Amino acid sequence: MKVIVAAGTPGFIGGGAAELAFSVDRALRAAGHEVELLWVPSYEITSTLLPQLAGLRMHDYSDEADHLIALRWPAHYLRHPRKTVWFLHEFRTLFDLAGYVGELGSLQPGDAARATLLARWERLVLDEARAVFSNSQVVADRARRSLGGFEMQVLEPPYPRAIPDPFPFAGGSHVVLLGRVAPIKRADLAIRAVAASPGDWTLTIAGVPDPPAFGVALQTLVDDLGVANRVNLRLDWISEDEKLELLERSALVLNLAFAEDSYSYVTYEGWAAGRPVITVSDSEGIAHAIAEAGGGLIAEPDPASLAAAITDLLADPVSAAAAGAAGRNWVTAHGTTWDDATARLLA
Amino acid sequence: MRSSERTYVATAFVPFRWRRVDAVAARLVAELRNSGIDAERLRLPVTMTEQGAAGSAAAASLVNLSWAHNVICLEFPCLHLVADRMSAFRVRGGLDDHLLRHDVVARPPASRFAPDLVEPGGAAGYSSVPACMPPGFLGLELRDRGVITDAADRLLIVSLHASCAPVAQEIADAAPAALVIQEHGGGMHHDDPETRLWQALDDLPPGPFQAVHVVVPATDNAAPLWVPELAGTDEAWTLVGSHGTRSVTDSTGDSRAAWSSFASGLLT
Repeated sequence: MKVIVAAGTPGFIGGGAAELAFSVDRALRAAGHEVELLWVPSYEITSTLLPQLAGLRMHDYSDEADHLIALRWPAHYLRHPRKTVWFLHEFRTLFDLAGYVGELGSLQPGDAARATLLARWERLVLDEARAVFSNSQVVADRARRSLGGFEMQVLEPPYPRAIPDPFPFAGGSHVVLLGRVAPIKRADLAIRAVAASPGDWTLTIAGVPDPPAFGVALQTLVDDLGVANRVNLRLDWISEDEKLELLERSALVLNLAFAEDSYSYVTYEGWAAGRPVITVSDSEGIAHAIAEAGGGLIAEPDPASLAAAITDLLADPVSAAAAGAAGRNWVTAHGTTWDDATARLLA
Repeated sequence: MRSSERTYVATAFVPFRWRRVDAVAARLVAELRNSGIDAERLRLPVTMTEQGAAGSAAAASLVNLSWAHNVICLEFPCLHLVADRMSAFRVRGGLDDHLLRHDVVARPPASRFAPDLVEPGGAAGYSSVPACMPPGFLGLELRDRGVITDAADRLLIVSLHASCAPVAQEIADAAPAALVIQEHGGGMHHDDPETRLWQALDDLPPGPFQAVHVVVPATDNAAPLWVPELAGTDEAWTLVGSHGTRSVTDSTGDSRAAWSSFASGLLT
């Protein structure tokens, strides 16, 4: 079968959504299908949003492919009679992140009307799909609220690669925060937690700053707080091998993203390595997963609370190891396989 | 860390078909990255009926990429993108050719072109960019056709200009296994040697060939960019100047350097 896998992308930056697209591509090819990946530029500026979506609607791939799988927003605006949508999130600026100023900017005049129209369009393009899956219960719940009761089936993505062997838990005092270094991921909160903690634990932040100016701001924050001797900023893309090396040396993993859609791959990778994960209470999908798996702690989103949670867990390696093992168990036992996932996507 | 110069290399999205323009785009992205440029491919949805072409152009014109530093356009409808800085070249067989052949003219504003790459006029009133032959695409095509393999044992000589014929014949005489393709009738920039070359290659007997020697006018500036990859390795090619003033053999650099030069030329 010829399958187009389409996914929105902000461009020039990796992340969970791109990882998912590559995973779907690999799984479909392994199942014997021909696959083309189409990256659709995603739009952040609300004033030009609707015309760009109208442009996407001009394209119908009925003649070129047997099936279209739409992943990250706004790929599902493409047309195909056999279209399956794996919904990762809405246009967040106008929906679940409306009013969140940390990364996306404040709402613009006319955005309320755009949100109303966009909700109608979303229903239009989702209703024409053969099936609509969400990547988490959090996303399904959001869609039900914002799209007039629209129901999605939850299909949590399997681990993107072969699950690596866990690293023996050796305790220590090294904490890592991995992934895209964007304001919404709150690496700054982790740095402030270092400053708020009397302990001597150290923190490595590894990932691509997005935007680049945010990396500069983090360095300034480290200097201003006088914690340069405890914080290592590795602000660049890191390889899988480097990531595994960092995880092996770590005692625990931080994942502090605000209003995350799902458990997020960083949580998955930390748990696969056998490490506990600490998040904060407004991280939504991450906190939901940690509560379910028992794979770490949930602090409040302030430096003192986060520092206390980190210090407590580092001081109790038995509990830390147990939480890491619980997370590892969740990764290996939870959800579906890629064979099952692709079968459902093409059904 | 990579340069913050974010550059899109843009083509149309034509799924499930091997196209030279896609191979060129992939290679261009790789070389830009090797040069420290943060480059990515961008493939635009397109519908190639007359009505669909207009719609595709309109859809592309709604995509605002002003936040990217550069957009390099290889074919329709990418020149319709909204970008602050854009450069372009045409790849034989790309969708621009299809549009021109069918007189479906979706003409982008000339201001979207990088000024130094614009050639005014052109077929059907289309403001064409130079038909610049990018490095390596001929080599990719020959490899794709199985003409060139690592186990090659024959020699192919392609002569692209009437004035090259004597030199090509000299090579042929010196290499009994040589197969000579003579394609005369115009210079690289005066006619359409690429099309005639492809037609000739279609008639090739089965390869493989030990090396590919391409005979072009020594004054031609485009040739050194793409000739090195003809034989698939950096060593096994020869570029022969036909005006008798110089003979260039394995001296115009490796293919990496040629691509790098070509890529950086699009960004200056």
